[in-house]
Amino acid sequence: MTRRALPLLLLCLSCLFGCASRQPTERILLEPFALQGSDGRTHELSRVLAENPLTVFVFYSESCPCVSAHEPRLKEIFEDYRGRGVQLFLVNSERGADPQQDAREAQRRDYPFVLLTDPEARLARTVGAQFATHAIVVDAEGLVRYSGGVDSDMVRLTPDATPHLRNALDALLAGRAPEVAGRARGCVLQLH
Amino acid sequence: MLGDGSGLSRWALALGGALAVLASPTTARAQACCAGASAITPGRLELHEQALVGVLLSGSTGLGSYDGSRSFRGTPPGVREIDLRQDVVGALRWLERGQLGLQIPLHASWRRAPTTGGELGGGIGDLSFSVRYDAILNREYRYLPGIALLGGVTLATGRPPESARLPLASDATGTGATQFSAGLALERSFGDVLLNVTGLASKRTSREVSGVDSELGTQWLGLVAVGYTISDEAAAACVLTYTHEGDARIDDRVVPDTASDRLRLSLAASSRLADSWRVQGSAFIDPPLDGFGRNLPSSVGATLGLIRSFL
Repeated sequence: MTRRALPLLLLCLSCLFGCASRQPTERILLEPFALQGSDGRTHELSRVLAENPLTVFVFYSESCPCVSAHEPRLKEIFEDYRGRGVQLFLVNSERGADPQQDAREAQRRDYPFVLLTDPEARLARTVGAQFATHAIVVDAEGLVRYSGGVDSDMVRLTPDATPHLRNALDALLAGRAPEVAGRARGCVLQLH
Repeated sequence: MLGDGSGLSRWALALGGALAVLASPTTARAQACCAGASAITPGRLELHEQALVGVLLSGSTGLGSYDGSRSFRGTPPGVREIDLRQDVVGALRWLERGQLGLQIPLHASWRRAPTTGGELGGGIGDLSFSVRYDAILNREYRYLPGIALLGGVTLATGRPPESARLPLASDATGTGATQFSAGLALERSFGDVLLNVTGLASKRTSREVSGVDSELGTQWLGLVAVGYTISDEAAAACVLTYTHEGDARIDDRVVPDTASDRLRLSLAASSRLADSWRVQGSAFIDPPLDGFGRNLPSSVGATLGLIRSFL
């Protein structure tokens, strides 16, 4: 019985797991849409993209410690690249996200950048983002040029972390494609 | 299936309460990236971990036993039992949401009875392989808990009781049967609180002992755990585990009154020493009271573990 059952069990599990695997596939922002910002303005995405050579969207979750830990680094990235044609936004794509709550949080956290509210998770679903601190870099034509983590850290920031987002921005500003997309290592985004 | 008894009533109440909480539409705002789940299941890969290896050291001593009518009887004078166990655990992410696990147990038992005196035995136990697939991650859906499919195989690599060479069988380290398990785990966080409800069924293969075909009963395990995230990197949990094993069969006939039950209460804590190291500790007890078990010994013990994970 054992000799017959074991291969059968493994076969069933292989099929089950293999079939259930899911990978993000959409890489291009097809539809323009507007998102409410923590600055009180409505941001038409197509206009935002057209105004900047590169736009960074970093996915946010209010209670995620990985987001809180990365706030100083995101503020540094915002300051270092804003004069080089890079605009950075945080995006709350969690189900039921509230613009007023996001505005309060942005003020409390002293964000120099705008926190966009995407309560129907359209942006996250379009680019296949599943975790907070997932970053995407989109060019002026709406093409996603980078999709991955901000860096290789989670909650504890280390001086030798690989700065994936900075590397990607440097490469794109130099006219090259980013070499490596680091994994995003934040909390699960509540998208459904 | 689970029968009656005061321990079971408590279990049913706890499970009912847990399911009621699970079904409520409260907005979750968990911190699922960092701590919580590992306090409940130390050998499990957390969200972004690709692999882990670890060692769990545990020690326990017998308090007595539950008889067939669920009455607890303390250990008779002169009888002592101390069990030490070391588990080497490993896990590997197979797919984005799937993981494989391995557990290698090493047992050492010291037992003493007035008639035989003390004896020390041990050896390698039954190796376990497990699979877990998180079909839905905790927090992914606003109104659904995380749902994981569980599977496992335990091989009869330990020494079965009938092959023990010592009078009190302290060198018996396995059941002698291959075991196949399947189950489901539900997980949901509510703020800093993580709730886990797990059910697992295990079927053991039949085997021949002294010319007689014997088969242990099907085992059902239910677990309800409430974890609390103390900080971004530390969590504590209270775990209630109920195990029921059906009547054994000999030569394809059911042997009455051989079924067993056990309710175990555990308190566990887990803390990260770094992103890739975490320490785990727990203490458990099978309450030495009537109604909390049947046809099994009662124990109290503790576990300490060190896990190295790879992102």
